[in-house]
Amino acid sequence: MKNKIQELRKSRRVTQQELADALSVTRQTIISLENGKYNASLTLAHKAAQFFGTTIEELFIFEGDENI
Amino acid sequence: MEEFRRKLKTKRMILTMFCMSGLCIYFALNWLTDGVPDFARGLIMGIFVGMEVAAVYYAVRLTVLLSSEEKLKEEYIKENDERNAAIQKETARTASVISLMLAALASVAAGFFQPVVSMTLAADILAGAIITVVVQAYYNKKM
Repeated sequence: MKNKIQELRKSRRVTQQELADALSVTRQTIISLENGKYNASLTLAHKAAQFFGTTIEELFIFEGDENI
Repeated sequence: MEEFRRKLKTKRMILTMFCMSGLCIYFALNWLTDGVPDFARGLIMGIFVGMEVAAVYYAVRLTVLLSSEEKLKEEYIKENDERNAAIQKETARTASVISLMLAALASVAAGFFQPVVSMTLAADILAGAIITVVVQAYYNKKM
């Protein structure tokens, strides 16, 4: 699963720490999400989408078996 | 956050009670283990002292956390971070598989020299397997 977190974060000039604080996670989690090493839970995906004012489908790109 | 603070306060209270009753427990253990072989007695006392030291350390750590709003928030995030939880889950799973394999190997190796040790290790593996099945059945019903 890919995501546009880094792209959106940079376009809005938000630091990783600020995003981490807003989502109540550690900065390391944001780094791992951006690097694609960790897949967010539904709750975290929802929070991230809310933070960027977008939808989960817009923020996360589901590929292959991740779709019906 | 308030619930987390309450949880930490309760933990600190339990730890403080354990620390305060340390001397009583020490004398009680001393009395209860009277006549027990020196090695076993030393082991029991060692475990108890280790637990006391750990309890003092955690009680102090909790007091520091509870005295600073910033540190408390940091700890709350660290403890509730879903990636940390996922890492812990994976670590526990991998570590238990490795421990099980090593215990099985040790059991086989010990069989050549000390059958009692081998049987003890085999019993440990069996107990671990039973506990795993029971815990899995519990979560299977719960989720």
